[in-house]
Amino acid sequence: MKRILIHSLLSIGLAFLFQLFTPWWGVVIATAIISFIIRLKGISVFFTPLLSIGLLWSIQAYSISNANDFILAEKIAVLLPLNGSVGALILVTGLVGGIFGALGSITGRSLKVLVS
Amino acid sequence: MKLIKFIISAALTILLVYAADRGWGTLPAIGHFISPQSGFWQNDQSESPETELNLSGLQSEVTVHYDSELIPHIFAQNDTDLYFAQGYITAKHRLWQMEFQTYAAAGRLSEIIGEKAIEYDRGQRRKGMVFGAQNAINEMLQDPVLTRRLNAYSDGVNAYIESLDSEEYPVEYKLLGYSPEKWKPEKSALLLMYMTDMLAGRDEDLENTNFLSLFGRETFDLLFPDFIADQDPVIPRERDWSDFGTVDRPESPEGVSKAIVQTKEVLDKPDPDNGSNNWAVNAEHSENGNPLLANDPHLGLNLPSIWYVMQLSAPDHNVMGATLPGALGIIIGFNDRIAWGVTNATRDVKDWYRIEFEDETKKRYRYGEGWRDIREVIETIQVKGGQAVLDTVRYTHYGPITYDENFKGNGRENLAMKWIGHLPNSNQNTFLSLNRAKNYDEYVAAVSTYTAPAQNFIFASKDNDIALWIQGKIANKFNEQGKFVLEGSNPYNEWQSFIPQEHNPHVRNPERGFVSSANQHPTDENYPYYVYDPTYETYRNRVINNFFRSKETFSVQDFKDLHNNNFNLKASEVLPTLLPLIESEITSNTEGYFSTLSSWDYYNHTDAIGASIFEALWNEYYTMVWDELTESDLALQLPDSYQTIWLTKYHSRHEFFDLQSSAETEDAAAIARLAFNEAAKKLDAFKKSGKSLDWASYKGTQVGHLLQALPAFSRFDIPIGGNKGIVNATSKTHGPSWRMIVELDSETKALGVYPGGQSGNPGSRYYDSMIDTWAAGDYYELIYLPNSQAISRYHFNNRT
Repeated sequence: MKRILIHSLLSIGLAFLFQLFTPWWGVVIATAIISFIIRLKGISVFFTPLLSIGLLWSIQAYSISNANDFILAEKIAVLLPLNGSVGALILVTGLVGGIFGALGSITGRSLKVLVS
Repeated sequence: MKLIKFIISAALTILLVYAADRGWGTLPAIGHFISPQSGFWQNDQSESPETELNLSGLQSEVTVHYDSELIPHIFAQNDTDLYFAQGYITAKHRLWQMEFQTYAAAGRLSEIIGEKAIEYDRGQRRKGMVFGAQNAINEMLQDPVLTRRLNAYSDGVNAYIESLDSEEYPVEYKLLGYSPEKWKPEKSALLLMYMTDMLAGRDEDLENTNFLSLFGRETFDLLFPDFIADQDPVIPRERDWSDFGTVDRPESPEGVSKAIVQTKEVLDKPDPDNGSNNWAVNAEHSENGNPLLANDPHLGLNLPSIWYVMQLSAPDHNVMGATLPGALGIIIGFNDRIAWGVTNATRDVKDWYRIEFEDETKKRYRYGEGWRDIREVIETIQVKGGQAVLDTVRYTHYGPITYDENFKGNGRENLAMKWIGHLPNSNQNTFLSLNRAKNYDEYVAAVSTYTAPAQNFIFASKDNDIALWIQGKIANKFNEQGKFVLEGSNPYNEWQSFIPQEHNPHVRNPERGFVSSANQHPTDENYPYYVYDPTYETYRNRVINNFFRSKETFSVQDFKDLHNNNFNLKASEVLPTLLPLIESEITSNTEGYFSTLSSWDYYNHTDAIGASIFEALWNEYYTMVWDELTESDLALQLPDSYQTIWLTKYHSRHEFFDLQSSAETEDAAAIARLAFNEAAKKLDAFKKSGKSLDWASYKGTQVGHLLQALPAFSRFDIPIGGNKGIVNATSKTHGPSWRMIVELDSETKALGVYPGGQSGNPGSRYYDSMIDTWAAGDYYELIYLPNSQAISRYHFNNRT
């Protein structure tokens, strides 16, 4: 459990840093690196970054949009279409980030297995 | 096994990253678009003002104050810096729009939105939009001062573009997956071309020619007269033109056939309601003793709004008003001496010539006794996600052959366009000179070089001059020249000359104490040159002029009331004729509608149910009367409402009243009854859908995003009265796109509002912040700062 927590915190930290200078898919590399270093077992290789990166993106999205009364989020939630639900939009954002985080994690882990 | 696992997971990851990093059809690149770090979330913010611009490229300090509606007040120390700052600030708030409009002008939308725009783009190329813009920019670059200003504006726009990281791009770029390109002075010319097309791009020559061949001369003249009895022209009828002496007007050629070609398919036309109101009174007719001026241009209602409001100040001038993102200076506005405005002065400035080729190679065409060479232009239309499309456009000395066997028309004939929009011009200079004009003479000097789209330039000054010049470069035509398709081989059919500029109709300080225009006839029949346009307005102008004749003095409140005047003159002129015709056949189903309509006061106020019933009735009636024309295989235009009403009153048994689809022979009365019953059914259906029949709900005014009215970025069901043909000309998707009232007191005072907001960002609170104020008929004070320091008198940015 502790390992999962450390993995999560490090993934969030590194993904946050990477995003400052890489394209959006920097999160994939971040979780790949963390999973290369920190060994997770079984399905937690997938679900830990799904939740941690998902959380990162959701919180970032929420905090940016909240500062502006969700003006654009409400419109994009009509466009995508999510029936105008900002909550759903934030969830989808987290899910997309989380899935890519998870993909990076699996790749990093399988590389570790390969080279060790 | 380990290797396979790694390869599979790595490949899957790369594949999905790739898939999410690019757009699919109309879907944006989902990974990029949704990422909080790079995607749309970054656009979820409202502008924060900056008071000082510190950019490389500026010569001196430039100060920008934003007021509470995000209107920038720019103070520069020289005009190069001023236009640099204008370019920078405009781009900062409207970059996507200003670029999109120039893409649209140039026929490049397929590059952004894909194959669905190909036909549109081909049309733009075949209209010679780039050809016209190129001719304009070549002319403009002859002028060193204008060149310096154009370059400064361009540099300003580019300084902003270069300051952006991709996550800072406006959200539309992210949605469509492209990046802004460098701005060039040519783009400013394209933007002006976009406006020229919108305002002077309409003609009905092909439809007139078709009508003539189908129904003959007598019917044509009956339904499409050049002048009408009720006209109240821009230049008062009292104007006597004898001071022109005998003017040199070409003789009409005798015995020439006018119905020379039949056309099935024509290009989409600009909205016939593109027009405007303006009026001004002098000090003697103003309650406060200060000249007053008002203007409200009627255009498609879009977001981001077509207008952007600014104050531009440099040591030699200080001007404020509305401008078009992409154009330099202020287009409609005021300074510390004068105010000016524009309405469209429609005139038939686009003509069509039938071209006869020497042979199938299409290299030469007949002209006079000989042949002339064609200039071939191969247009390449890049298409997002598809193959580039090539289209050959052949240019004659008249202009481009728009219609040929490969494009619309009748699939056979070659028709070349002669259009004022293609002529070299420095129209941009007119506005920059108006920005600096201090009196009547400087105003006349500014407008006198203006070519197109012809405008009714209204003017008022602190010297207590009021004036209106109808200015544009207008061909001096023989009678009916260009009303129908012309034979291109006959040199006599050329635009032989232009009306001398000083003979353009104008009026200064008329006895009646006011000047006004609303897209009606410029003059009465006695003006010695040939005047023709198929779309002269017949209602707003009479309401406006009657109002100014109704009393002696006028206040700012009167001006506001007139902007918001909802009187439906058309309804008042036709209902007294239609209602008695309908009354004899009222049923229990239609009784309620009939009594509401009978007691309606002809005002299209938001809550008027009578206005909705009238609209439903009129639409049915008009459609039924002209069924012969809408059902034809040929392209035809319908007579306007005014002429339809005239026919109803004075020729109620005309054969056009007979319905094609019925065995009986109908007259106007029978059509009125049928139309009323049909309207009642439509109104019932509307009510059944759960909506109210009050006028605002029935009309459903909307302001749509430029990108095909993308619903998420548009505003719907805006509660506002009015309609087309009413002074408050707000219809469903069209209306007063900027309302301005200026009082030339010792310190110029002004009010303004438009149906949008200063920011082009759908994520900004300033995106549509003025719409509700506009709909309510209210205004903002336009804070005209005498200098940068005067800022301390105002509380800016007081919104939280």
